[in-house]
Amino acid sequence: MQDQGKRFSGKTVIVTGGASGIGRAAVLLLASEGANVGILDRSVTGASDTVAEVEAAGGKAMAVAVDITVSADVDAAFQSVVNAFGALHSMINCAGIVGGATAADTDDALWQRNISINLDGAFFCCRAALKHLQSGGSIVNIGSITGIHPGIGRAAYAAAKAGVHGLTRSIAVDYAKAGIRANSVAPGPVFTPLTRERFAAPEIGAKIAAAVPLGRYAQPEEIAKPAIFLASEDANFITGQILIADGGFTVP
Amino acid sequence: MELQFDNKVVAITGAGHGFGLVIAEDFAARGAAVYGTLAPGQPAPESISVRFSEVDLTDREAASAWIADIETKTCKSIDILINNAGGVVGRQHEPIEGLSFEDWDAVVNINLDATFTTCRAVARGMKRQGSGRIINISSNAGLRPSLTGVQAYTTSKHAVVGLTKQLAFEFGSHGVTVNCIAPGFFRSNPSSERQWQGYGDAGRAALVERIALKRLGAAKDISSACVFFASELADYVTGQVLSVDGGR
Repeated sequence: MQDQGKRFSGKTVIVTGGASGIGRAAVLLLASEGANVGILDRSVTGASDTVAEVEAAGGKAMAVAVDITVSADVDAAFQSVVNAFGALHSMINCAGIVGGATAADTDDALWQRNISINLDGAFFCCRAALKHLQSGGSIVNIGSITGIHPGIGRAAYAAAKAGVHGLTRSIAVDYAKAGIRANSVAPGPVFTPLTRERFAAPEIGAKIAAAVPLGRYAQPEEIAKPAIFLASEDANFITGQILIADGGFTVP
Repeated sequence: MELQFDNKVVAITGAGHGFGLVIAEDFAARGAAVYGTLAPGQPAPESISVRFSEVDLTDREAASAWIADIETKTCKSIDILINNAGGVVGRQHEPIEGLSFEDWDAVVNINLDATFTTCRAVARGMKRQGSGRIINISSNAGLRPSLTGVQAYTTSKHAVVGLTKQLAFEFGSHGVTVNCIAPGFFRSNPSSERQWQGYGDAGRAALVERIALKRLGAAKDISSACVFFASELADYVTGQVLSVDGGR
């Protein structure tokens, strides 16, 4: 491995969904490893708060407010980060929503909202990144175990996340010759602002603890860290992989 | 993020050359006390930081005693076990109808039984300690047919994946993670070097062409994956197989 202190020294990394949860954890870790981080998020305040936290720790970050479902805006946001920080080294794609319903209970709006943010958004960000990435660059998409194993009442989410994994592998194959890698992390249960309320219910918390071999849900950092490993040069020979980080939840 | 392993005890099999030696040196450089096995009669490489022992890992008593001995010497449990020893042990493809039972057993014994034995040997200590990392080096042949055509190799490497998943489940509640690395083809030791030379120019070009990144990996790539699984970066990862193969 590289000198662990500054694996991303001076490198430009874009993190989508960097205002909260896994994305925010990734931003803070990347900045502590020397990266200049561009945070793309629809939450202006959340992203600015994360930037302030990075700067307070002596790091470098910028926030760009963007709705990732609008491709022209995504392209512009990537361009503004590259203009400010220089050539893009990697992108960690964390923006997304959770929730859903069974297939029959998924109305058009719920389906479209899930596909639009979780899949269209991921695609727009990957496509924008590929316009800037050079040999040695890398993409990490946050997928989900629900994109691999069935989750209850998650039809649209499962379809979108399975799509993200397929997209990841497709990019890996198409861009390997150009020296660009693409991988996914598929998290299990993670305690984030998106899930906080649900997990806080004692019966849900206990259920998760019982179902996960490691006996607990993950903190956002525990998903951000594998993502950063995959983005780093330490994973130079790893591409097209979907790395499950779920405490063993889907092993049995 | 410094990935240091100060005060950690690492036991790694097959540390005499190839991946094993690179991994052992990597952990030693990060502050771990590293104990490695050499095959019987294998000369110890020059290393000031790895404590080598000659161990016949296919001898269950001897393999278990090696782990027990490390625990006695260090007065603690093994923190990180890396099952790296394995390979085709000099065998080549033989149509199955003519394959000798001895040749089958020799390959299964080093790839599967030795892995089982060391996992068994560290289990009590890791469970008592409530922490630990087991990293098994399987192979691309643990997920699909092997380039070597050696049936016992493919079978035993698949079995290592199965053992990894079962143990992840068994160890989870004790705070121990168990994961697997599946390397593609690497020119990492005399055996894989012979294999590489045996392919000829066209075979070598075809092999590289099948790799998405169009190049071979280096032992350091495997070592980095080991460090990942052994570190805090993989706290929530267990029961997984990570292919380090340049994509395919």
